[in-house]
Amino acid sequence: MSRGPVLILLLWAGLAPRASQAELPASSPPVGPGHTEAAAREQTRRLVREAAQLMDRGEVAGAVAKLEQARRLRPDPSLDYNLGIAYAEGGRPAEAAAALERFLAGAAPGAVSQDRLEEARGRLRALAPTLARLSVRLAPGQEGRSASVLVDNRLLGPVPVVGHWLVPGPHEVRVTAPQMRDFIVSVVLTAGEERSVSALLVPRPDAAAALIPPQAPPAPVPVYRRWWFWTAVSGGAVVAAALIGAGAAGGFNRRAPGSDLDPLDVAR
Amino acid sequence: MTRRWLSWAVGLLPLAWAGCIVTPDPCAGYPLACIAVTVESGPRDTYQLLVTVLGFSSTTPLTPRQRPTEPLVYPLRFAVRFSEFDHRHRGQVTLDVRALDADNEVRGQARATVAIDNMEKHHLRLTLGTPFDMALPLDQASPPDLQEPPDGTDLAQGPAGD
Repeated sequence: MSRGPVLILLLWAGLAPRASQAELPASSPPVGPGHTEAAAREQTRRLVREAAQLMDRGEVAGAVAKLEQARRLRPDPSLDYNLGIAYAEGGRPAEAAAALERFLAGAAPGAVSQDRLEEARGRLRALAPTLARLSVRLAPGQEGRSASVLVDNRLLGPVPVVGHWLVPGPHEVRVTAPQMRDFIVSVVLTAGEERSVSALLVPRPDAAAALIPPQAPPAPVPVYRRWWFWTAVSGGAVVAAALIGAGAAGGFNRRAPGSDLDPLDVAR
Repeated sequence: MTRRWLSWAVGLLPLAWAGCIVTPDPCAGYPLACIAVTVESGPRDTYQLLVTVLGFSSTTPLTPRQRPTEPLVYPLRFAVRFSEFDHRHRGQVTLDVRALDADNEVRGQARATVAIDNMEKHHLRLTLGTPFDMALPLDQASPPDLQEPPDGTDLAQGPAGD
């Protein structure tokens, strides 16, 4: 790829603030603290100029870093185009395809020339057959769960991930969610393949217990509901009844000390 | 709570045990006049009592009827049961109780008069003291000896010098 169009485009992005501003989505994220919109735009322009200079010197990695920094500052579609070209120049075709796709999806038709769009489409068409696409979703029944997708230990974002560009070859797909076991699968993708992965999340053994809401400590059982209470009461009642019965029958009577003598019957 | 109940139950046992000392009533069940006599103390070596009701007769004035092998233990309880009083009854009786030792010697004695009438029940407490003096009363003593007067006067002759 010749470096000329890249430089031209970079200059276009950096020196066309109006167009860039027009291409901004209506819901641009706020800039960092202390940055006003104008300051952010000026800093973006500066980063793009520096990236162009780096590209001109053949320092593609440095240029990519500047552009990524600028995009973090202002997610402008023109930056995606430039990033697409820079990624492709730096031997990262999957990221290039993703950036070009973002550019095509986000560029306002009136703000970007038709030639530019066609060029981006052409570049994407050229890259697509050499790449694979991967989609990651959660298994049916778990769609509402929040989980994150990592491919080759690089975070892609929350599920679902649709049509993520990857270079052909083996890749590790990992889906993580709180309290769940990581879903890990290795896939070997071929060029032009579109692979869809459905992740079934299983609770962690230690987390399964944690998922169960902690039960409140059992309320103290009243003493009259304990098994031994009525047993003791019954036993006490039997003992009391026996005592009362024995007392009534004179079982506890003790004869006073002394001698009981024979009676004397007297008469006239 | 149960522990408290158990403590109550356990506490009642000695109370029940200690609170039920029964003194037999010698007259219990006898329908006519009866005197329950309790001899609270007396001579140590008492084996039998000789009971006399003045003016009344008894087939067996001794109680117990058979002499025991050991001395009696005070207090001594017995009943004096009367048959129906007749017209000679004046409303009171006098009991004389004597303690006999192993040799049938009287070692103690007590006497008491009790007002009693038909079908009444009385309780009498006695203490046996020393036997009464067996000397005869003065009015029943022997008359003085009719010896001659000390001065040797001849009663037939009259006083000398008359």
